[in-house]
Amino acid sequence: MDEELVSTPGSDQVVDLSRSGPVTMQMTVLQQAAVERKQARRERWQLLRRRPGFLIGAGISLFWVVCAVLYDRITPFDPFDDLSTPLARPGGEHWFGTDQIGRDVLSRVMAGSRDVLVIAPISAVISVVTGTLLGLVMGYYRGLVDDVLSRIVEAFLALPVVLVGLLALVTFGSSEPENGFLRWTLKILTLGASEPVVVIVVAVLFTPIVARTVRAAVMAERDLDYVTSARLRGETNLFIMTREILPNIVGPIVVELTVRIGYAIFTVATLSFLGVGVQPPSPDWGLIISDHYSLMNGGIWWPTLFPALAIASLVIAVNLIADSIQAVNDR
Amino acid sequence: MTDTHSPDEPRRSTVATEVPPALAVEDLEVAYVVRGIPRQVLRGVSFHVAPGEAYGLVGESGCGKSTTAYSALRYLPRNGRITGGRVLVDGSDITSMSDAELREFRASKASMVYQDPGSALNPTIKVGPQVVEAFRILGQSKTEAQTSALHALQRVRIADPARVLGRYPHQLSGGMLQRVVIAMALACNPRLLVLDEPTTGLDATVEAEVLDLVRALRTDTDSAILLIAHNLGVIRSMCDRVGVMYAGTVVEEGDASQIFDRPQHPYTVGLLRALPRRGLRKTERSLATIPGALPQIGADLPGCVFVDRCELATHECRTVPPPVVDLGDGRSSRCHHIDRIPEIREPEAGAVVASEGETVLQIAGVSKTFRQSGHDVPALVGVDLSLADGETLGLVGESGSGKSTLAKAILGIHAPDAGGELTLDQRQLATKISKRSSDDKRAMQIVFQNPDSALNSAWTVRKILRRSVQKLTGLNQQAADDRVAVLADHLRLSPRHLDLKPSQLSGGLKQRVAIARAFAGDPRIVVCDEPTSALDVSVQAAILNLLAELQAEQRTSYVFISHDLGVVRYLADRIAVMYLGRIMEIGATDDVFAGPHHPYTEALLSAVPSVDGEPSTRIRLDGEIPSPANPPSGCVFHPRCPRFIEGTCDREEPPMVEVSLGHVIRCHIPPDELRVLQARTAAAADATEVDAVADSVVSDEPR
Repeated sequence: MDEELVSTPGSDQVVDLSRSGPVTMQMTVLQQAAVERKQARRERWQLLRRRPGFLIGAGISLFWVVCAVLYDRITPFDPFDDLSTPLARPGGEHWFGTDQIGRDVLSRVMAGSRDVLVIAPISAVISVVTGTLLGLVMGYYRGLVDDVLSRIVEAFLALPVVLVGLLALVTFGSSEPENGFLRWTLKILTLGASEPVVVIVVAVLFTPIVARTVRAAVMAERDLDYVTSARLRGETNLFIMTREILPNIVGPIVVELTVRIGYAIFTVATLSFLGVGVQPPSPDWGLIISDHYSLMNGGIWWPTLFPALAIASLVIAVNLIADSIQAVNDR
Repeated sequence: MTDTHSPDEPRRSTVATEVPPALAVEDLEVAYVVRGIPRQVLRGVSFHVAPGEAYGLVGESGCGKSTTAYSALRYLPRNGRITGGRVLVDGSDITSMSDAELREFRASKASMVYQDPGSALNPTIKVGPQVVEAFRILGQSKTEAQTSALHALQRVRIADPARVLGRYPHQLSGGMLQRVVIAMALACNPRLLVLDEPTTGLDATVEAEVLDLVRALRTDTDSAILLIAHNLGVIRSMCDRVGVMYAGTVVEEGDASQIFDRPQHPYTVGLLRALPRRGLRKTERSLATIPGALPQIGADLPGCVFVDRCELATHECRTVPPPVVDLGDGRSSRCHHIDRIPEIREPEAGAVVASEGETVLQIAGVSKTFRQSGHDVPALVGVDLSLADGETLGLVGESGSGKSTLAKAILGIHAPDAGGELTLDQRQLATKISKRSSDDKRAMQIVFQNPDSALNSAWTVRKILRRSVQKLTGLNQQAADDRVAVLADHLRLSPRHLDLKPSQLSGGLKQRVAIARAFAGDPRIVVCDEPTSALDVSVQAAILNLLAELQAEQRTSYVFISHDLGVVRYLADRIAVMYLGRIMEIGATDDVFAGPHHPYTEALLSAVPSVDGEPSTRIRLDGEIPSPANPPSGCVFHPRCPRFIEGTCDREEPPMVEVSLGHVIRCHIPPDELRVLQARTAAAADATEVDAVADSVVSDEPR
């Protein structure tokens, strides 16, 4: 008697149900729903693609990803062993000049994206996973559990980045890991022994921040009626947290992940600059800067400026992507 | 789409030549850009509001009434564009104004009052500076503005304006805040005052006060009023003329009482028949529904916008836009078949429920005390109730009266204080949900007010229902799937809806899923917590019909919470009126409505603006419900009671007096005396309908 149409967000080819027969009606609505969902996704994607911020961010990131994957084929010089005149000015053969032992700065900057593009996403993912679990528990239980965990999280937030990095590096060292699997993984990723330590340090530092964001999102969700309804039918807390609430906070978690990747890049560079992150001979940007910044006073700016620009470009690019995703999500 | 608007509206015709209308909307078209594509929401809206006139726009949500209101101040959301037509306020075209002109215009000629007064004021600044600013913008000096602010608050009948000015918004009640906002809106003596759902968030008693105020202000300003409200009673009691909107078009326009008593468009007819009017009960007939749903914004509608839901639709309606038919007296209707309007069928008799059954639920001495920053806040005080098999118990009262707390105490969401007893089918119930057996969980379920938050938006409908079925009945996968199909069929959800997510369903369908979930385990009792207040009237009608049918079939008992007395009257067999956590009156629906009433019930009844234009008594309650943390002495209602007896009501707790079988009132005044007093008030109200506008000054009662 009262046949209501499904609401069709963003579709202008609405099929009128009341005029078609019952069988075709069922088909049309199911198909229509699928089409709509696809169309909404496509429209969202189009909207994303139309945002100049997203395009610029994606372009820059893509460039660095290509560099990271193909550096040994596309760099003009060998970033490690090709030694020519030290500290040659930019121009001519060496576009970005050479560093103090005569390696091509452009090649080293291109190759330097590799470490950071492996470390930053991995540490961001780890921190988002652990932070989400923590945040779920804190936001869901509130009360004493939240109080205790929140204090611990705040204690972690108070830790100075450098100190943690230094401590971790000294403790776990840069010696080859004993574990065969870990050694093998590192080899595949062509990472040095210090990199896992950096990953762990960044992940530990970021976990509390993610936890706080997720906690806030969970607290907003847990007061909604669907959670009460789940409790009224006798669901366990674990079920409510992971199956009811978690799928509803995926949006903010994805945004948090992109934002964390941006910060992770920055933190990785900072750690290596301070000498407590990635260890030589990696062409990590922070390391290159650290090796050459003292020469700035002598007018030798190129080995410092170009890696610094590289860091800035990648951080900005990732943030542009994060902002765009958030803006499109919020619509 | 050209609108041949009838210029011979009697009230305006004499002045139309020399005075421009306060608001003239001409063929207005507005589009919203959604995900990059402009989608049309207003499809040529035209109407005029004369100076001093109150014009109401009605229609279901999504019909474009708010967009029209915002366009009147050119205050559209960022993605909104005026794509055609003009809006003239006091003769000047605001669609072509520059930003500076627009600012000047908004400061001096038009103002707007929004739905939520709480968010209309800045919470970090005291009320005073905010009101003063409204006058400073007009160029007044600081001292001038301060005096004006005081006067402005006096004008909206605030008793102690100096004190109110020194307060922060959160220290004032909702009704008081709305008064302040109205005072600010009137600061510039606007030619046009737009009220967008000004009383929607307020209790009926406070709503009545605010409406009285607006009515009184109309007599001493010549501001034109454009009133948007989904509550048709509010529109009828406030407006001279009414425009009925549907899918971005004004489909019918005319004198308020004419529109509501003799509608001339199929949509208006449907809308009005969907309301439980004139004391209609579920036993008399079911409510009319309007099949189908509003077309999507941006949809291409070549013919009549209402064609898909119209009983009278013909081929012509699909292809040719209907003409605006002038019906005389300023009435017009946009329909091809006005002559066939009387053919629209009345709904058939509804499902009759015999409510005489055994007691299912017995509540004895249930109290609930919350601890709030070291204080005890009694939200429920010694509530006794019983609920029979297949019966609907309506719970009414202002917000803060403890209706929802009682429902949650029954369900075990908030465990009641020790000492209270809940018995279900002669078995004692554990107070906490976690301690209840799965049979007890299964026996009691709830339908929430807002279906958006009641359904997990990440799940499909099928998953939502199947999980509830499995959890409540313990059926295996296959059997649960079968049961879901049966449930869906019962609730008139077609199988195709099961694979959609809640966000893809309309509000009515979502609420139906929520009801299906509550019925998943064949419950004995379903608590309905304002299940239709977030829905449009036509959808509300469908849901109420459905609830009545389900009850007739399954003999489920309902605890039905609602602030809409018409709805409660329609559905409930018995009604309990709550105030400050206590039941003040309980009895069979007919008895409670027939009286004698408890003075509080009387005030609630008189606060409701009637769609039928019946004169109501003007019992107005001062202030708002007191804090349950320090309830008044004696009868908790005495500080607001219009029939307060000094020395008795403020000292002694009133007795429970039985008026007739099962009709009990908690009052010191004997029922016979109440009956006489109330008859006298009603007679007085008939005599002085309009002029008895609230002259009373509202005291600054902190929440």
